[in-house]
Amino acid sequence: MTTREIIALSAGNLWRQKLRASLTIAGVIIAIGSFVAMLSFGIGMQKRISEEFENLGLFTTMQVFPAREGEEGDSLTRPLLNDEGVERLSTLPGVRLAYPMSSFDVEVTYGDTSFNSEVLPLPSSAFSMKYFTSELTGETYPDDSSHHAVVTHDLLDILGMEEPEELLGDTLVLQTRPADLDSAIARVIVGFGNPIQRIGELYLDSLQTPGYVRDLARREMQLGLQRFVNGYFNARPTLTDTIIVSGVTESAQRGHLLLAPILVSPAISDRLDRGSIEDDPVALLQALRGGTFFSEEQEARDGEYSRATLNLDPAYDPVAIKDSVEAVGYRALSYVEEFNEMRKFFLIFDSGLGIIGLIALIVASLGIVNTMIMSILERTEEIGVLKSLGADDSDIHRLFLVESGIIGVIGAAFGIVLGWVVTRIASLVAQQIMRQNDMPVLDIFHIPWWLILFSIAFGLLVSLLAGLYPAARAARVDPVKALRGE
Amino acid sequence: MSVSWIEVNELKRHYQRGPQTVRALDGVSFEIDRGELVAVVGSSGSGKSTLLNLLAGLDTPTSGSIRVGERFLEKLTRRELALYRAHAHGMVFQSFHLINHRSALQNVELALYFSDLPARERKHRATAMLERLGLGDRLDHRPGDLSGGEQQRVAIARALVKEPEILFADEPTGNLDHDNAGQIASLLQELNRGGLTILLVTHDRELAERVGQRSIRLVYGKVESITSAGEVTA
Repeated sequence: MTTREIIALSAGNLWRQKLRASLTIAGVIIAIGSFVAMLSFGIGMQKRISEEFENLGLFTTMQVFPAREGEEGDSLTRPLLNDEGVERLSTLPGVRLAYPMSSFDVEVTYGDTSFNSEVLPLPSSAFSMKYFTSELTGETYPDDSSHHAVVTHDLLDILGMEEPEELLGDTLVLQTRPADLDSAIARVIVGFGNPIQRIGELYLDSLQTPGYVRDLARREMQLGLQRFVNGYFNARPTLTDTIIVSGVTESAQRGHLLLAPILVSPAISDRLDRGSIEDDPVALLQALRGGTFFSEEQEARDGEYSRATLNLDPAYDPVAIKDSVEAVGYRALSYVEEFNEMRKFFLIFDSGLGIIGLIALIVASLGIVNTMIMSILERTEEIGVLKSLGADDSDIHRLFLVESGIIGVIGAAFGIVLGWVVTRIASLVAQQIMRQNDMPVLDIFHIPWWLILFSIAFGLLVSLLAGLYPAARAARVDPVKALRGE
Repeated sequence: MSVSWIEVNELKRHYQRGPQTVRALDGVSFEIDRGELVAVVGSSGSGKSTLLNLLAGLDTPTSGSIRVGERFLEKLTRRELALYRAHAHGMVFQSFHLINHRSALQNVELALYFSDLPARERKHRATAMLERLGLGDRLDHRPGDLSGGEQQRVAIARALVKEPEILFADEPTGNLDHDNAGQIASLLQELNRGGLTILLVTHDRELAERVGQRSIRLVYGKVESITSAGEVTA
């Protein structure tokens, strides 16, 4: 018998048993539907992340950090991530641009409103990266001495604005009080007030002072100290600059690159950021040991940046660039590697979802086995007749295997449709929830062509496997017994 | 000396049923020439149907040999046996064994599925055969809509449509009334006169004597007698 004849016979046999075949196919439809729906969720999530990385240019971005203490030699041989270090990074092969990412605190005045915020100096060349421009409204600043700023949506939120256009062209007044040695010491004492507090606790506790008196004494001690420190801070000179908002970009922590709410040119940050040690006691002690004072601009710049960002040439292997950065003595975070880690996670995640779908398909395959065995029992005489007419075992085997395969293919085809419908409904519900929570509205499901083809092939494979035993049993039917009605 | 067309030699078919060995056929030998109509007679359990199944290549002997033309059936592979069944012979059964959900035409056509004929040719030949047997107006009828005689004629059409060398008929009139049985018997005679070799298995001695040129009588799996037409047996 030709394959076409076998398919025609098999389809005819299934058509005769419409109800039973439909119920069996329904099992496959549900199994394939759940398989497609679950996998499309994992694939959709992965696709969204991949697009996010691509849109933000993170595949060509690398973060560089100073080596940890004791990790790369001692503190004397460990390379500092300062201006010189950033310059050195920019000369590495495959690095198109390197710039520090180190923010500082400012007091911002907009109209009648004043609040504390952070400023991140960013060279104008950094805006060549997709990350800063993909969601930009307005313009970036033209050069590194510009008095323009790009702000993030976080600043809009602080100011209670909805649309970026409301802030474009407006002026912001930035104020800082540069740190000096005294204020730094004071800040360390307040910020890390444990030494004084601990002394107070030890002293008062040792006298077994009642709790009320002890708390009162401690509070008085703190207030006195605070007044002392404030005196130093308030005595410092104030630096002021006025900037014009030229652009608004997406919120601050998107895509792993931590952005401050206000991005300014290096010229502005040079004027305002004069005290880099802030409240870090380690930096303070290092400065004391080196005799460094913080009121001078150049000396402030000698401090290390907490990180730097590299813009990479896509023609170069990011792993090789990372090796170069680490060879210099810094730590590096490659987004490509991070993405690969995510892909590994999604592989496991998708496999888990796939296994759930597979279990459903195994249950459906048992239905196929049951249907086929019932069919053999009912058609034993027919098998005997076919054999008497010249069918050999392989013809009968193929006949039943094709019947099983037809169940699988029809089940898979309609299962894909069911999976698609389920994902559309789930996506609509998810998008509604996203809207209600002011989240970006995304389609979290994706059914690629390969998943459709894979599902059909998978449905066919499982149904053929399910049909193997019944088909072998049908092929073994003894025609003499079958014709005798046994 | 002419060589017979079918030669059965010391044919045995034993079954194991529990501890007991059933000797369905126990050393049967005979010969059939091309164009003969031979009746195999015997009571129930004599081994008639077993013999027919062995000759039709549906069963394999315990020992002995069956030669049909150049073929020794016991030496054929399963695939070769299937080809033998597909092309060399046709079979007619007592209970017709038509497939109930298929029309008369589709039942007859089914016998040609194992040839290489295109679908159109298959349909043409099946239609012609049914018309030849007087069933031209019953092509689309299902077996359930036909009388017993018509069903048997459909079964004969199915057996003949592939133009076989030999027709094996197993109690072809067993389920038919007297008139229909007479018509089928006449049809077999007519086909034999056309040159078709027929092996008729029946317990109906009258039918055997009426149509058979020779009769082989089986008793408990052995040939008791082989008689030619007109010879009187005890």
